[in-house]
Amino acid sequence: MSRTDRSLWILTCAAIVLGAMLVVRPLVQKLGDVDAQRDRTNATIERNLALARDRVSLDHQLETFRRRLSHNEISDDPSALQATFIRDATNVARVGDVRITGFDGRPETRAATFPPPHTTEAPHVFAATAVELTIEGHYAAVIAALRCLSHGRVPVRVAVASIDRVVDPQHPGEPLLDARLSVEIMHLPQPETLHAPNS
Amino acid sequence: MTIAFDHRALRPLDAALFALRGMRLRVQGSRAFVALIGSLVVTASTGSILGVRLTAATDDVRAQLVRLAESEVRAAPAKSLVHRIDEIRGVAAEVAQAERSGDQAADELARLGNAVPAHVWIARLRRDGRALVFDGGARSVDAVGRAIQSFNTFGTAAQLLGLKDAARPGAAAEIRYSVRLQTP
Repeated sequence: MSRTDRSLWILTCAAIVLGAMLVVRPLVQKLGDVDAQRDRTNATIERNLALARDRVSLDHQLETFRRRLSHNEISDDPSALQATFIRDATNVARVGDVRITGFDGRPETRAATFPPPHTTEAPHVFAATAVELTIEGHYAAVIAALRCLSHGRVPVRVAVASIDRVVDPQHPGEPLLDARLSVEIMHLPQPETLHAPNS
Repeated sequence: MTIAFDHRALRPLDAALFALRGMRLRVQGSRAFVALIGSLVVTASTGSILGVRLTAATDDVRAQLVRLAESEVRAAPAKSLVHRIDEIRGVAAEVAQAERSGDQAADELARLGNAVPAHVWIARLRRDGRALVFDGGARSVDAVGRAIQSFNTFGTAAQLLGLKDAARPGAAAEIRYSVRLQTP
């Protein structure tokens, strides 16, 4: 092989390597990036158009949720909610044949919590004010009252803190239960989150 | 057009230039020279094909960005609705959970009441974290044993904390007991 031929082969190899590195590879990469961007943009456009088509269904969903909550009193005013809850509890007591023997407002409140997205922790949209309610009645009446109390107008979480059995000397065969209930009256920290105008 | 020449009289760059101008070269006796020209032609043509495709794809993306902006405008009201639905769904879920709390407390009390056998009663009950601690009475120690057995089916484990004979002279037998019940 002559010197010229050897130089030409070296030049050929260099041309192939440099051509692949400096021309073909960057162009292929760039083309791949542009194709990926095009796919992403296409997917976003499709999603947007599908969402726009679903407007009626979304309106319907929102209306369903609103109807579901229509009997609930949802507000950011703990004092007004407490008043409504007391009235509801009085009603429950009257109808359910139990007696409210105590109501203790407590200074403890629980704030609403919004954990960061993509965590398993459930958010608490509501803040809550804790109160202690004591009711007295027969076993079945106390159980019925427990069910009714959490289905009132004001959203409340009810739990039994303690129960004492009270025997009335005049009716020893019909013991009463004195149930101390922990009640969390739930209120919204921001009313506009629920009542903002529909845009 | 065909040019016949001896490649040894020609520098590689000149030969490449001939090739690029579309002239057919008939090079005598050098494969290396042909390979060089070939590699340059292949590289250049691949580059130009890719360049054309890239230009077309970039134009496509530009057109898509315009469509994207239009679709964003069309979807904006629906997106706002989705946001509001998410919020109200959170509210509804928490309200439903709160409504269930009373049912759960009532169910727990009812199941506990049903678990109490004859001649046994619960006098005081309090919640201690996830456990229920209660004191009660029974007509016999055997009845307390039956009660513990029954409570075991209600919670995960009933633990007898204390047992005391509290019968007064002349009165019916009364055993006082205290139990801690770990609820599921």
